[in-house]
Amino acid sequence: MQTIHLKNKKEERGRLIIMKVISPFILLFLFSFSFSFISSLNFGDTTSSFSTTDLGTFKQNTCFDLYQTCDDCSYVNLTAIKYPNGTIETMNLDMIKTNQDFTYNFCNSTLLGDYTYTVAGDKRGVYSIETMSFEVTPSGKDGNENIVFFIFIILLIYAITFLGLFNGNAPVTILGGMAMVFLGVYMINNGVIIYQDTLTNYFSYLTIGIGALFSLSAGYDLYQDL
Amino acid sequence: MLGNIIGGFIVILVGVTLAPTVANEVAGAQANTNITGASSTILGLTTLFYNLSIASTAIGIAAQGLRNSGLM
Repeated sequence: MQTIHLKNKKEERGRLIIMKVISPFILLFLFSFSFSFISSLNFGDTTSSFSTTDLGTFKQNTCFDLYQTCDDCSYVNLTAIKYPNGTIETMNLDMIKTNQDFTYNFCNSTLLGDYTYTVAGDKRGVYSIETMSFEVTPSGKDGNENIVFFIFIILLIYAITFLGLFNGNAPVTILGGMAMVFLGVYMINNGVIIYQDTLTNYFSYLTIGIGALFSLSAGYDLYQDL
Repeated sequence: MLGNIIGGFIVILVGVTLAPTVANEVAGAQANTNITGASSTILGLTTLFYNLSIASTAIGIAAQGLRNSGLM
């Protein structure tokens, strides 16, 4: 009778531990979905009256094409680029024509943030200009969904490693530690979606260090068990 | 004990599979202009330590097998 009671108590404690571990992840999932839902809601036009066409998001320190489509232009020039730090570079470069598309290969994407460029052409025989914008991020991705997903991955990897360590499960700790090392290197390379500065680099080094330390200590435990 | 061996094999399998990816990422991070000097050197050692941890797991499993069979 007492054995059954103890067994039930153990099972109940196990269930409680599992709930304690799982519930933060359930909350995080709900939070991420609600965050995505709220960010997708349209609260009317909050932008200024000066409209620009958005080219999308590109990866930092890479080359990509700035483009303009014009079916009846004989030429299109790239006249100016405004950088995220506010610097305006004035130029008057011919864009390369391919059918109705005009492109210019842009490589000066070191600065993170929003860029704006202006093009000028002879649309329907009349000189006209247009402004377009694009964003440069460390990973080439943006959006709240990506940020939330990335934070979720970081928390998951940390949680697996710490749970493995505190439960004395050496293989799980080694795997988690390896994942932390990879995560740290990935963050040094790509930043945290739209952020990449000294703080994210420091966090990356910390992640690599903790991952390596946990892996080594778990490996030592594995040898002790022999 | 069997759990440790199975776990060790999974660690080796996953670790070896991901080793080239880690090496590529490290090379990419070292090419990054923001990482220079000592940081870049230490970062370069990540691949070495990653592979060492896989190797040590493999050695551990082998030693365990030898000990169980009475050869060690």
